[in-house]
Amino acid sequence: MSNPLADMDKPTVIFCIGTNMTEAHPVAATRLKKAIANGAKLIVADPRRIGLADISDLYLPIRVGSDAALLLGMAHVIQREGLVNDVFMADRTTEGETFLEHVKQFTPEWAEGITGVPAADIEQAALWYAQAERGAIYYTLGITEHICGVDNVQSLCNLALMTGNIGREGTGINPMRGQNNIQGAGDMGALPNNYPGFQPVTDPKNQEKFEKAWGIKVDLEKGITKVTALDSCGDAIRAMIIDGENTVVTDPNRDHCEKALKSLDLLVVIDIFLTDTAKMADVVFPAAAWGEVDGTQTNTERRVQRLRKAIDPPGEAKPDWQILQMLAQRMGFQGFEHESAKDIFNEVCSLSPTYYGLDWDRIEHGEYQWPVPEKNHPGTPRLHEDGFINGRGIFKLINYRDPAEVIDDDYPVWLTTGRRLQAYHTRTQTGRSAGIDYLLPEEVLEVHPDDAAKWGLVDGEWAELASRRGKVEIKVRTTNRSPKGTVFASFSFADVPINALTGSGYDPVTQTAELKVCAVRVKPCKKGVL
Amino acid sequence: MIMTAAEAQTHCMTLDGVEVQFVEGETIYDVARRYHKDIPTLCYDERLEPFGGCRMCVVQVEGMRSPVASCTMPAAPDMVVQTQTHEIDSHRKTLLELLISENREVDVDPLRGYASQELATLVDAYDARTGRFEGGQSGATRDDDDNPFILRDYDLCISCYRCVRVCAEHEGDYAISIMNRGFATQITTEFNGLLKDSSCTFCGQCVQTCPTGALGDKKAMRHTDTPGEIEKTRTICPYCGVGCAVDLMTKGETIVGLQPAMDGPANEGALCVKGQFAYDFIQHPDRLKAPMVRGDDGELHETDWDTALDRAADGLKRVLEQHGRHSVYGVASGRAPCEAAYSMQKFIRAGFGTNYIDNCSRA
Amino acid sequence: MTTPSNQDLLERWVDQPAPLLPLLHALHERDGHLSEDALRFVGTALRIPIADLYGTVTFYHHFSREPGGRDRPRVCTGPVCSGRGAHRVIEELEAAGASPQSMPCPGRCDQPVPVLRGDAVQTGASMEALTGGPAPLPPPALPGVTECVFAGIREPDRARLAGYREGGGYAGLERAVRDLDPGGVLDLIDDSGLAGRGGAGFPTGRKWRAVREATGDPKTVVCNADEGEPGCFKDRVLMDYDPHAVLEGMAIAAYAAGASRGFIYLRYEYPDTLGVLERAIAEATEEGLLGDSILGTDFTFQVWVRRGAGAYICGEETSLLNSLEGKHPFPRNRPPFPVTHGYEDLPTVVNNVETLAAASHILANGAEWYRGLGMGDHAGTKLISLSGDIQRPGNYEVPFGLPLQTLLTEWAGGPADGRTVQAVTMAGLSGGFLAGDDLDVILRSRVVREVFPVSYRHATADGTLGGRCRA
Repeated sequence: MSNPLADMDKPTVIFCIGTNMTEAHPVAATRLKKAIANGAKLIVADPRRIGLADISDLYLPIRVGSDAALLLGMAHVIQREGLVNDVFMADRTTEGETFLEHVKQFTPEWAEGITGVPAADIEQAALWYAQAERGAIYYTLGITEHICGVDNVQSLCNLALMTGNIGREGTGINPMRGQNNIQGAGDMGALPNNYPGFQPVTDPKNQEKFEKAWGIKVDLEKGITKVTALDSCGDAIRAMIIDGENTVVTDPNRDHCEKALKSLDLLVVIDIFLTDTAKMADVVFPAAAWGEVDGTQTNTERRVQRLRKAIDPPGEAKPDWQILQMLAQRMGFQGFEHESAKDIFNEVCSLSPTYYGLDWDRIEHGEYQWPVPEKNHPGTPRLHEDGFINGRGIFKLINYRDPAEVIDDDYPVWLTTGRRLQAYHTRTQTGRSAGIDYLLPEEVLEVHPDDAAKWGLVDGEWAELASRRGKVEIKVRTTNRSPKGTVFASFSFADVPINALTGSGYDPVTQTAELKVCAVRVKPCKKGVL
Repeated sequence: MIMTAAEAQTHCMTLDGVEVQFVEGETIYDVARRYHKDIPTLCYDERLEPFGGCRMCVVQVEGMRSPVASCTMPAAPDMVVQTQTHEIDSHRKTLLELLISENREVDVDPLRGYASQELATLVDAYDARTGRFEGGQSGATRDDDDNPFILRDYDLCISCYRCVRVCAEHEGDYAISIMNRGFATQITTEFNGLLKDSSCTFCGQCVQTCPTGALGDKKAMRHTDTPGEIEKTRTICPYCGVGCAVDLMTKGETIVGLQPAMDGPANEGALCVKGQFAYDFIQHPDRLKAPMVRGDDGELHETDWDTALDRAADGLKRVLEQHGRHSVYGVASGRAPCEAAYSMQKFIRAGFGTNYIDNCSRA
Repeated sequence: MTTPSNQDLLERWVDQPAPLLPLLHALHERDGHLSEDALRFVGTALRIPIADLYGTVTFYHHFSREPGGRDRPRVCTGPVCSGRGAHRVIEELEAAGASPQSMPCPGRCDQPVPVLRGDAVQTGASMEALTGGPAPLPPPALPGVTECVFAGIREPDRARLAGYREGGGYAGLERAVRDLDPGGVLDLIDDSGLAGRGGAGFPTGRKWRAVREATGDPKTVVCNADEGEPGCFKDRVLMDYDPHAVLEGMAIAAYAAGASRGFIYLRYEYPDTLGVLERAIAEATEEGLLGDSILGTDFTFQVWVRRGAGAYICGEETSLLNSLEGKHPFPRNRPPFPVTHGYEDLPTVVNNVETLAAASHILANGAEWYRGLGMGDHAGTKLISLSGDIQRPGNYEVPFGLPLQTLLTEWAGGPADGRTVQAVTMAGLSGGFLAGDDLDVILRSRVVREVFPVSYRHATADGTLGGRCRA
């Protein structure tokens, strides 16, 4: 997030796109609801009539995968109506003129043709956002889990840059991170292209720094992403070590994923449960869970906070870092002599420019948000206040692209996937917590009542859902939350492995899978036919 | 209106005989709290708009006929305020006696909720008598609500409406409200149904702000009879990326419950159903307790650490020898602490000399 | 006529100010109760959380959630009617299979026992005796007494615009907008000594001036016609027989305070009054006395009637404002006061019916005239609702300074036949009882306020209650 969570009750216009925040990030949503109670206008763009749509002032029911078209249409209106923030563009951005010329072709009527949202509503959204005293954008995986995820994000940046809605209180471009420490994992350099602190691995200065720090010879080339690695399993990739990820359930195209892991010479899994992925491993190490280890965790607003141990882990389970350290020592690797999480965190701070001003004791109360470049630095709740990290904000010329897979006669229905409030990911944790079943006992396919009638589906009975990659059986729930022609399910339940169906394509830059769109067909079935 | 301290006008008033400063917009209660005055409250939750319902915070203001509720009365220049006099104390005691005369019990288990001891603490402090006043009873317990999280024991409700206000103002769910009036007043949901049939999201905010235990954390209350003192450990919720601060409650080596950290920088006391109630996975019997290796029979078997570590290290070494360093791939967790992710990338980079490392953010 | 749909009713009200109560009334009337479906529809349409709406609806006594509930008879079990056969009426209705409910005082204490059924009020001491009909006019003034708000009320046709104008009506408003600037009106009201006739006795001129000086637009004048204190029925007679005097007073207040919108918040229990007021507003608007360009000037002031739904607390001004705004009718914390943060948090005059009606007469006749209506040093007049064991119950306009005993014996004819006055309760039940030598009080605003801090707007001479005490 460019702005802190505390800013979320301050915008005058809120634009939520591809974020089902009341279910996926409920506590962040409470702050937005305060802004709304204080009179802020809420614009929601989402294919599904999600909870946020119910409290919105303007709801834009876009067709799945058409985000870029909507955003181009909005940029067109802002340009056409002369609502561009000229001063901001002149002082803080570059490539603006080309961009303003580029968007002239994308009329709201054109965008209506692709998104299905009335042109007048697109205009209204553009006017509100551009004229806002403080306009803030919030998005989540609904924007990124597309083959054009990068384009979508860039389109949002373009809107913020052309209106100057960034670098100030109550504005910004704010992606909400889905996992407790996914931000931290990136910060720590668990990425093929960056050392800790987002230092590119291809930069000779960084290579030298880490060779010196670790006393080893580093790889000069970028690594490959997990998606590519899974594609190369059994071929170039022969061994994999996975910590705390239920890869075969969370990743798209389960069939492909299982085959990949099966073809490895060695699979090592560290986890707290014997997940479907762990069941495929050659070696499984039992990890200590939350509440059983000390450590740190970095949230979506870059706030570094301490995790504390309350109880001992069960049996012989150990903290992940200790397991990796023991294994490293067994391998004869150097530099794995840490005595505590504190030791490791302090090493991170010494090597990461974003954490450089922090240390274990300084984060006792969690008041710092990175970057904290030096010891007495107060932290940076809000990014880009005085300027962009790379100088000027660069406009990118985006064009709309269709999803990797579009509906056709064989697969005439859009499937989109997402989260539910009461379940987390694959339910390894929520599924083992008493009472959650009372609220969410099973997965359902959300279908518009008219579609259900047309397809012969009955609320509470079963349907077979099939894509080019697989089939699942799933119980039907009719609801107006789903638009006609689009169905929804989450991937949380092991007995309804929705990711057997997904995986039609990947973003070429990030290799993020297009989990939000695939083409399916739906028909009634009796349970147990598959 | 957002006003910074520098912009706001500073004034003087007299508080218990001492001249004190305040800024425009502060209530008498705000000022008194800054000066460490011990003013009792029941309907007050600093995250919410002042309500002025319980009247426990009454103070004497010179020139005003009756005591005023300090939580709602704006401080004014030259105001002369007494926060503790014999009259005020007896007023507060009578108010407490009116409240508790209606309640079935006052001393409730602290596992009921974060604020559950507030009424009992005041009753002790003021030596108030239960059962002093007889008459009608308001609030009827909803035994029929079989949800597994929130006890609705409205016999103990004192109509402070903190639950209703936290649900609306802090959580934005508007799931509960106040029905009827007079003695028939009752906390309700839409059409007086069960919580699960309402817009309740089971975030537990109402439970944690209830000052009497009328709302209770049913999961934590399973451990009322578990021996041991409650210990609280401040940590961060393990679910989404918001990073809500929580206090994990234990008795010995048993997790007995969880409460939001009211001063958590990301959440300011808020939580969702997952953070509040979905912690049983930690002490679930399914937890892995020993390393496992795949045997000749093709099945996974529990083993000791040495065996498992050797098996993994030997396997990795063999792959490294046979296929080179670019044949090993590491996936770090977005769920484990930073130290785990750092260790994984260092294991791959410093150990194998490659950048074949990623995390699960692409899923 | 086809039954209007939810959508029809929504469209009728959604763009009106303060739409919740009238929309609920429309659905209540159409269905005979407020169904779950109807409430869900309203909640969604007006964006009110459904739990809040449910809570709010259940707060009001007269919104029924049971099918057929709106037309179930409600029988007054207030202090006077309880002693005049209310329970007998309930038993008789029960025996007749009508499933009656009791209700708090609906302001017909001069004609016990009232029974409200749907939009009809009947009165009578037994089920057989129940009859409809208008509320009685005030008894004629005693010779030598000059009245203010009752001065013209007994004239036929006074409730119609023509009749009102014939009696000199709207001269006060004309004088205000043509001859005086707002400051002049405020000075005049200050000079008259007029103070709030709803109970609190706050100086009216000061209130109007505070609104005029407060920042925030548009400003509002609210006429508090939710007289709910048991035993009090004085505002009803003013509105029923002299509605234009109230509207004129509201317009004068609006002119002085700089307000452009006005509401009359009328208690549910006066269904007939609703029609009278609506007709009067239509007449006045038609004649350019309300609405845009009043009397050809650039003064604009529009008035709407909003009907309450049965809640005693809504007579308290901040509860009333919450009710008007569609919120749960809890009182607000003060400060801030309505003069700066009233309807929709904007500056608002809230005045009682009688206060506003008096303002019309004061503008027409002058401050000196009004002050002179009191006895001795006392300024102005006060309406008293008198009921119970008294020869001539009803509404009386008394000069301040009049001894209570004079009112009871000379004006109202003394206790009922065969009875003696044991005690008098004033200012509602919370005002306590007067008996013995305490009855020798003078009705004057300062004394009355001090002795009866809750309200001083009516007196009930109630020998029955006294007799029961003796037994």
